Amino acid sequence: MNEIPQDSAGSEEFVGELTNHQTSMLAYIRSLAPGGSGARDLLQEVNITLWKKRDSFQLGTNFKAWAFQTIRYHLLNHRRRLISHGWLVFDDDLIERMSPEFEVEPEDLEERHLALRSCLLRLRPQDRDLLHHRYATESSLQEYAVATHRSAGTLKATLFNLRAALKRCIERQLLAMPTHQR
Amino acid sequence: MKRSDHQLIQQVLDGAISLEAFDAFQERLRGEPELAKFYGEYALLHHSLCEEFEGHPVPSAVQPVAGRTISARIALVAIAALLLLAFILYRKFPSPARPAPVVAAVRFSADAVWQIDGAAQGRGAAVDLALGATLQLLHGQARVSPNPAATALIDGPCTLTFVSKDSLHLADGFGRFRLEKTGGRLEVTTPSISAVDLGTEFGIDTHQDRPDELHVFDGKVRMRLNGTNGGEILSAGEAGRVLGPDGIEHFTADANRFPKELGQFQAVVSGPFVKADWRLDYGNPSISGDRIDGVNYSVFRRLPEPEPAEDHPVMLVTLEVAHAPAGDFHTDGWAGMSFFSKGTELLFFGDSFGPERTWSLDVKQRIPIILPGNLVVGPRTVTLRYDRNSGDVSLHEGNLPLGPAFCTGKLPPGTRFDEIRLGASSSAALSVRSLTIRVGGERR
Repeated sequence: MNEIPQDSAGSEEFVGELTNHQTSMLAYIRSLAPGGSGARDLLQEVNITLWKKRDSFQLGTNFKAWAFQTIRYHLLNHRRRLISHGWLVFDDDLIERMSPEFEVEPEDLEERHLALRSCLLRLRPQDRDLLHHRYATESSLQEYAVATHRSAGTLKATLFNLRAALKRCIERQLLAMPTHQR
Repeated sequence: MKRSDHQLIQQVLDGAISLEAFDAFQERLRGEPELAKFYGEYALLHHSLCEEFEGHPVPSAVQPVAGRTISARIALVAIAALLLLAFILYRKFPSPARPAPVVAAVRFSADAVWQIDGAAQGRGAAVDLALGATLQLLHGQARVSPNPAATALIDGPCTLTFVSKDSLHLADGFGRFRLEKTGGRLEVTTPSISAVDLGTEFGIDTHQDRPDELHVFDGKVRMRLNGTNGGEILSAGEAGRVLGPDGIEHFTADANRFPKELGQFQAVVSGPFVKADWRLDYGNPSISGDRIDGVNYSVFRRLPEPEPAEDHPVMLVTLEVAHAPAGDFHTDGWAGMSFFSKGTELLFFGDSFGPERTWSLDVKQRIPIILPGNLVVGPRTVTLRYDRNSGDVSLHEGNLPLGPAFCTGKLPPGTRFDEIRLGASSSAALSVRSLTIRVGGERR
């Protein structure tokens, strides 16, 4: 007897899947197309594509695989535009070959983020400020060097060492986490 | 891994590498699985750092280092002088206000139904969209102004994303875009083309089931297929349709296919209830200025003209129902409002006949009645929207602007009504506090 609005429950479930995978999708985009500053814009383009094609997705099947495949197609289809905007996009064969390496679960990303925060606490304030400048602003290292009366070369080397140290620190933190000891 | 590999990977992730060097890096990745694994680890770190810091303001701890040759006393005098100078300048030239955040102003037609994915502010039919927000216009029209010189008029159903103050993404639907010749820039992208406005007016038609089209009404527009360089310039009266990856088919522009303005509405029934307007069918309802109520009654009212007509195809009916002094709105019987054409009941909304205690929609040509997914219970204000062009009928809680529909149905397109009825069955009560019928919308 009842006519329930079509697909309202399905839409909610779809939006739930989409929401849960936003961080994983963003990490995937940043891995496959490095160098650009608008990964979130690219993610939004993919979100729009997924939303338009939501009818072709069967709830209960692997949303992550479908979403990541859509990202790969998006990168392949928009390669020229992305490159013209400063992105580095891997060749088609490498995108397919390296893709599994970058398909990370949302929970793993969350753990990594927590580990990063713990590692950042151990840094000197000026080192944290340097990282903050690098990842929160569009201005160049040269401008930051002028503002802080340091040389751009020194800052570049510091940034390199900081990231290498953070990478090691995160790996140690992850090993110490209970889930990684099982 | 060698130290130089750490550096190389970081350069790639920073985008600080030439295309030639990137090609060489890719070549190495093909033959060195360890390097690929290493790159993946750094990419995750890069992502985590972006997530940690992006969008967070940089702390103001970046202080220039004071020159060591300046004595403390001189430094203090200098600071005092600077403070004095700053104070004088502040008095003379008050500090400018903080720059306003970049938003796109949106105005909706009275019959618009929409939802927004992303940040937005505002109430009613005027909303400011934040950067990155997507407007899904389900019905009606909306005028979007990403900057003072640019305007987009979109017609539902349509999906538009506010990419930047110079850029909009039309993912689906019809849009008419205008850039004043006084300045500014506007780029509109779709899944397959980008249109760069060169001071002009144009329309875009992008739908999943057909190729994207660009129609130029005034001035010139550069049409470029996504993934290609250059593109073609189309002039007033010309239109282009995407043929495939490399081609644009030219034909004559058709301005009539695109929205021209926000649909205007006018009331054909409103104001206080006048007994003489209503024809008693049966029962003994009380009709006074601010209400019609009663149990087991039926009253009819003729509309001045059959509505909605071709030149104003949308009808909005807002019915405010209150608790009745005697009797219940929800019963096994019925209570609500009906629409007739030449003596035949075609549409009803309210509490339909049957045991379900909820507002519902009854499109008389079909059985069963249309119930909402979540029950809408009790006397309240409900607005019915009907579009004669599409035949779409929907029920929305409250007055205007319309919220999401809780019931949807379809009438044969072109259906018009010449009479309305308010009433309740023998066991039910209907107390109406106000009734407004508006007609309008854009003729297309």
